[in-house]
Amino acid sequence: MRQQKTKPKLFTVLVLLIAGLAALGHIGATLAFTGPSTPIKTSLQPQLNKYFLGPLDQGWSLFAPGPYSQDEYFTMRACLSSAEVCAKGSSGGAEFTEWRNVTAEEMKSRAGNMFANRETKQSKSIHGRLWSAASDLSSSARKQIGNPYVLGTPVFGVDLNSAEARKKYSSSELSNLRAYKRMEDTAVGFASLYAIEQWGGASMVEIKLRREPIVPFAQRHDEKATTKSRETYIGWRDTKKFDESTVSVWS
Amino acid sequence: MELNEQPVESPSIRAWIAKNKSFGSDALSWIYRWFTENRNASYGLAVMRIASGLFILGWLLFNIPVAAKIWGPGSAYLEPYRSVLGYKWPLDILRDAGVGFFVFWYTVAILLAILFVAGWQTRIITPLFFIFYTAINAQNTPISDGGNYFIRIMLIYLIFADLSKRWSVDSWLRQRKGKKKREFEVVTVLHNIALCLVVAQLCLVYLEAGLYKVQGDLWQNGTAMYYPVSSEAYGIFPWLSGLITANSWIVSLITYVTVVAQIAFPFMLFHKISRRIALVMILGMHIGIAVVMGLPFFSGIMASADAVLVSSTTWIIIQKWLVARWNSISPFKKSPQPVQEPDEIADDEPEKASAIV
Repeated sequence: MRQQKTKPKLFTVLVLLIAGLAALGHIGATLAFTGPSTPIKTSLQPQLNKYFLGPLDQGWSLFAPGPYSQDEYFTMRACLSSAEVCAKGSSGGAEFTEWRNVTAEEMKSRAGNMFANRETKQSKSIHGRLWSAASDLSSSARKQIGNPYVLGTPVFGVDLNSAEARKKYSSSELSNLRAYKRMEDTAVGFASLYAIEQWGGASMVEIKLRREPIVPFAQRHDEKATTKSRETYIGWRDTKKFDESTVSVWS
Repeated sequence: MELNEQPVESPSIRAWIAKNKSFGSDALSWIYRWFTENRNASYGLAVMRIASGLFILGWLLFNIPVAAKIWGPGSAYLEPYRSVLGYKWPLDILRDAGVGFFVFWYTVAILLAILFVAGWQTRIITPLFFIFYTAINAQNTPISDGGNYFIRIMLIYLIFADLSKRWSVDSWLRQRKGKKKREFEVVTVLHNIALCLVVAQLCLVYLEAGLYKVQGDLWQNGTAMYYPVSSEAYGIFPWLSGLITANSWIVSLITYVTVVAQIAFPFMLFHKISRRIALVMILGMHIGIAVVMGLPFFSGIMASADAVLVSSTTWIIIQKWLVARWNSISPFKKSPQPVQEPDEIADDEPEKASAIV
């Protein structure tokens, strides 16, 4: 440390103090926001969320505590007939497509390609968020999502923003149902656009999320080793409608 | 044998305090001078600007064929998600945009990336670049990776830094005109605080990534690295994944070195030898992630920020070496020219040259 005397300027000192404290506060808040759940973090909520959810949003538990250890697939099929005919099923003359593994199709361009574009991540990213939203549901709500909700019938049989829903569910239950519904609407919207791309459009879609765990490390040399896959099934839903500019880039 | 009869003063706290009476004022004076006298790590920040700008530029160019679909009007299916987790104005400007406006925005973002790399008017270009880049990213945050998140935060910090002091069009123009840049003290303070934020964010990312890992069973038993590289999403070269994971020793060593490198990173910055070891380990980890897991953007962005931890002296040596190499292979040989700006040596004494170095 050199013993050099410098006469500090008041304005500079003020700027250094204010900006320095702001920077320290920001880094401290970042540690609290991105770190594990602690009493400090709990006491700072919901202010932390208000400050960080936006362009400062971040999370650094990269591949941790559990590393990515499964293949995740977004699969779907569509009904190409009119909604009324689709509602009657195949016996009523409805035309259904085969099941399509959207994620596997997207991944084709990623295999052996370090510089694949981000289209390859679309269905996988929806899968991750929808799966965890469905996992937060109660067992009865999880059963319900497998039912068909078509011809304008709301999922769970009730508008989740209505007074009826507030009466029917507790606030934490309703919060989980709404979070799930947002992701389901996103997934159904994505499946609707995929149907436009593949078949020129559809009136209903059905979605299955599948997870296939990676063969355990100890069995990696065993070619016959298999793992048990898990599924989250979302029953038939009406397709979402989009404006012309959206449809034009998917057509 | 004679005994040394000189009186020996026994060490005491009182004696130490008497000897270092001015420690507090000296420390404050040193902090004041560090923040006000020089714009530190000017070469490291120039490398970060060039490298991260090139990675974003590459990312924008590689995604041109699908941009309108994943970030433009085609991303309207994400509206239920964006209605709750979307960004506020002006970062949500593309939410209702048509194809024409989106293409215009995307084109301007590419131009801004080029100007950012070139280092032209960075005081204006950096905030604009942040807005244009983030607005694109905000359209579809679920397909973002850690690199997108990291550089978005870094761009906020870099708005306050002097990014064009070295290796930029601005510095080249100044040199050509023979002008010396006027440096206001308050602006220098903000530059150095921005630099501290960049370094703090880097340390925070590595430390937390490491601390979360040690909590996981598979990281503890040394097999974690096998799983992602064996998946379809991250094992983009199955033959390479198979080769690396065939031997259990290699899997365990890579898993443990990853955790140790991340947790130790902030603490290894305090000494120049350990800092070099940390940077080499982290760079090796990033190259591995880029190639084996197919995440070049994420790795490149992270590694570009590590550049601020390399001293200006080292960057000048690298520059000289590159110029010498170029002169030896170039068919258009020129007489040797100085690779430094006239004011460079005075401004960048090695010990002051970067934040940590």
